[in-house]
Amino acid sequence: MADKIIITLTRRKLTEILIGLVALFFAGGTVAAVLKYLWPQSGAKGESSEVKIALVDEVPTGTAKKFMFNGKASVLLHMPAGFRAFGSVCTHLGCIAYWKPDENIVFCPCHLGKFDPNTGAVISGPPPSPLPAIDIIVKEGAVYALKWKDPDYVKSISFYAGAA
Amino acid sequence: MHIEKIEYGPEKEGLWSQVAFILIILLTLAAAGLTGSIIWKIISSEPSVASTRQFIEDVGKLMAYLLFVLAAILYLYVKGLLQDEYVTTLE
Repeated sequence: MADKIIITLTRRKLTEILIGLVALFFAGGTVAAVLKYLWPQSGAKGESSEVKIALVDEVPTGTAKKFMFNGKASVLLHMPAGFRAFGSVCTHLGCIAYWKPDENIVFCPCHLGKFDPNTGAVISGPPPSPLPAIDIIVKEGAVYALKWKDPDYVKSISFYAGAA
Repeated sequence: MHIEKIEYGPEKEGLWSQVAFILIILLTLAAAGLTGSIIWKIISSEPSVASTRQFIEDVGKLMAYLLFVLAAILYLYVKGLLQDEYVTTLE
């Protein structure tokens, strides 16, 4: 005679199991998100990778779009002379500079640093050096970031450690 | 010397209890869906999208919904499935 194993599953127990599964699911997702943060996609690194920034139509002339390049905050500008892209981490103390269309500058709000939107050069304020430029390419109606224009320069900026 | 042992009483019975149980199942599925949405949104989004205010607001809303659903499940679990009194036995 075979022994029977009887498992009694009450509604209360079933509820606890279901909630436990949701909690496990949530915990697993949290771990996955942390792992993704610690080990970002390898395609985002490297000098020859193409990172799609935006569709051309998304950034009309005189506007800008923020994006991440090699793990650093960056900004794409659509100037009358064409697209420009720079790392937007200020070379002074590492604040994030942004496009200020009314003054036609890239502006760092922390210490009022101003940068030329065409070249990234310092116009005024305490930043010691220009914003690092990013090589871009426009193809098939979209703008792609290729690499830092001067990787050696990027390596010399402490706030861009590991970005080039 | 005696050991005080606290156990849950028997499950509630009746229509309200059954409705609460069905609602708990449905809400648990909703919680799983919300959790999946949050995780998928965080993992699959491009960095340029994930750093926007809109993205953070969307994830915040989903988490608020999830918290609300979990609170509802807890309420239904306590009020719908547990007896009002705990059974205390002394051994």
